[in-house]
Amino acid sequence: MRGLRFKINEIQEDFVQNYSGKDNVNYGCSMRGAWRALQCMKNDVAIVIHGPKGCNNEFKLDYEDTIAKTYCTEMTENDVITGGLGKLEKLIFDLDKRPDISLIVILTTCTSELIGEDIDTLLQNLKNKTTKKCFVLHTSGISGMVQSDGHNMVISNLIKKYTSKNNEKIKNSINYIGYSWPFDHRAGRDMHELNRILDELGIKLNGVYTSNLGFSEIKEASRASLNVVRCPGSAYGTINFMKENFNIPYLKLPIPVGLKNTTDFFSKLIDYFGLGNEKKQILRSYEEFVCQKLSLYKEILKSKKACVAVGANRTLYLVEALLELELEVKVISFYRIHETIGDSVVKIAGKTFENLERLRQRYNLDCEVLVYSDSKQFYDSIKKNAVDIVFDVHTNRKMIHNMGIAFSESMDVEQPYHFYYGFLSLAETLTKELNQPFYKKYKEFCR
Amino acid sequence: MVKQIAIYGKGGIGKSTVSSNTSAALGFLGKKVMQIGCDPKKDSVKLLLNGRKIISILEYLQEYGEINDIENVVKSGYKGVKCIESGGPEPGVGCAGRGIILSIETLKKLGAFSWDNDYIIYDVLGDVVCGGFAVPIREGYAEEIYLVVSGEFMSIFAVNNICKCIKKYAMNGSVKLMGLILNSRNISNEEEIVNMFAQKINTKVALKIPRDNRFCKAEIAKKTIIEMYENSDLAKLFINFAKAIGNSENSQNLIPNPLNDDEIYDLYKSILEESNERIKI
Ligand SMILES: Nc1ncnc2c1ncn2[C@@H]1O[C@H](COP(=O)(O)OP(=O)(O)O)[C@@H](O)[C@H]1O
Ligand code: SF4
Ligand SMILES: [Mg+2]
Repeated sequence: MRGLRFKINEIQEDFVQNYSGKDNVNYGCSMRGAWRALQCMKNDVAIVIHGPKGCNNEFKLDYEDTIAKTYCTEMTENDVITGGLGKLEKLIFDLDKRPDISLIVILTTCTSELIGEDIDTLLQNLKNKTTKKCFVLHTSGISGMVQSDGHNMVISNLIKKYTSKNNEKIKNSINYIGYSWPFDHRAGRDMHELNRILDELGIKLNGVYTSNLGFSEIKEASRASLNVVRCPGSAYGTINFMKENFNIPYLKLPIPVGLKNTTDFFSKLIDYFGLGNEKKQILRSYEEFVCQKLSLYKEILKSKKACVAVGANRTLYLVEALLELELEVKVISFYRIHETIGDSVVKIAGKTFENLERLRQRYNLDCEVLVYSDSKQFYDSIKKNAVDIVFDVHTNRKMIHNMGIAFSESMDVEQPYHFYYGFLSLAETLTKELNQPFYKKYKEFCR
Repeated sequence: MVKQIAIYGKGGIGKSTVSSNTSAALGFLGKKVMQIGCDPKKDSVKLLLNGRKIISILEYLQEYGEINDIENVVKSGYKGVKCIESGGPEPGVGCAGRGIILSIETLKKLGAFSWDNDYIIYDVLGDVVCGGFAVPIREGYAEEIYLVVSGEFMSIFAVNNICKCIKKYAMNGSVKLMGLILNSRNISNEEEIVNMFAQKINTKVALKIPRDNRFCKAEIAKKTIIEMYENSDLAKLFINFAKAIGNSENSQNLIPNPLNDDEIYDLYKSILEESNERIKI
């Protein structure tokens, strides 16, 4: 892999071209993506992974009852040889009898796709013998798709199959598309906050695709008067379909992390629906309130050096939020700069470099940028830049802590971090983390 | 030392007929033989068992989960030939290649390859549809390969494809292509075609079997030719072949040189043109 390390003021013309090929896509298992999008739906949804135990391995967490349940056919070598459709059929029949389930979604895996399991025909044959809605998504890792394609397949299939065309639109209402986190997690609080503020502004949240989404809400998706795109990778198929078929336009809004981005997020909605300045006043008073509270945290956060290693789409917004907390962003690292395939690859590569340039110009940002760095480059860079806190995926937490550096999860944090209240909560989380006794002692020891 | 032999060829060409008659002939000569059918058709050893039923390895695994005693999947046939069927899925489902891999691995685990045998014969479905069907010629299994063929185009075509796979293994010396077995279909210029093909791919015709009704009669009686027509010319053919197999040590390392598709067409064209000439004269 061609690791690239440069100062933010050294972005070169050919970077976009060099990093636009299919190889630069954030490959991963689309089954996992689809599973993620499905599992945070309500518990009347059953997910069936048609594959070996291993494909289901990570998904066994016993979430609360609010969340879709996962089942697996646990294909064995014998099923590979003689076919595993019998097992799948039995599982479907069992789930079909359950009164608490209204929708069964089958996900294929590398194993079932490799031997060409004909699930479509099976479902066709079961149509008259079962009562529940049931469909299959061909999500195996080998078909070369990426994780966000899995999200996208889930959302667009749900809507294409089950949303009724004839719903009447609700005035000033939105669908929030491409946000899939379990509701008993941080997302519950973030979504609660979204709902609360929208309410105050006189906007109705029709549904979040797919957090806390129940089967009955899928049917109602066409009631919204606007689709708001949270993650373009997960939403692209759906928003275009809904525009054509339900006449719902879409708006790409900033990720609502930090004051500026949150206010931008709501202001654009206020403007879109023409709700007037008086609603913007509400936002201003939130901002003032948060600013006051922040001063306490800023004392500790001020001038702490941060490394941001999150998805390309989120980098811009998270960096802005951290600058608002007066941290210094010293390293930005991308494992992959694209999350979607196809024509979008070039666009996203361009967008990523454009965003970096915007950050540099707007905030006079002076930092190092890593693209596809290996771990040596990465650790080298955070040491050289004397980074105090790293934003990264949770699997790297131990490694970073072992270096005596504070850590914050970039995505799956326990605490809310979106919108106004989330921003305060983020500031508090970071303050706590930077005050960790171990981290402090280790710093002193190193000195 | 056990000698392991694989017999490949396209479906229906006569692999099982050749395999079981060769096993029977070796048994007749007092050799200890094991025959493993590697074809989802599961009919490789039926003539050796006089139609007695045998449970295949995969059927057994499916039914009972594991095989504790190898005796459960081995049956003793004509002249003590140990008969095994790997088995496979119903047509159109699952993965037969994976089935072969699992069967061979299971036999290995159960120690079947360290038995006191003089010969192990693998009867393998022909068109090397995937990696699984190449397992019998991977390192540690069959070292000598015979290809059953007739003069028909598709049969030559299939065997040529198998040669592409054999070549890979033959290059590093782990297998040898011992020759073609011409199982006649009585088509015109058949011997000429097969001889010329053998020459072109750098091998020889090791055995010629005539088209003969006795094969059909023996099949209906559920017997091999060796058992049913012990003193016949046909039986002698297989007994001589069995003896020749025993003497094959001296043969050099034979690496096939498969043709490309055009070359196969050209081969047929040239023979047909020549025979037209002859007819004119
Ligand atoms: N030389 C031959 N003459 C007449 N019939 C033959 C001859 N060789 C094979 N057969 C018949 O052809 C059929 C297919 O042979 P089989 O050995 O089962 O093929 P394979 O194992 O290659 O699928 C059988 O019915 C067999 O009796
Ligand atoms: S085997 Fe394939 S489907 Fe299963 S988890 Fe891995 S990539 Fe995904
Ligand atoms: Mg056969």
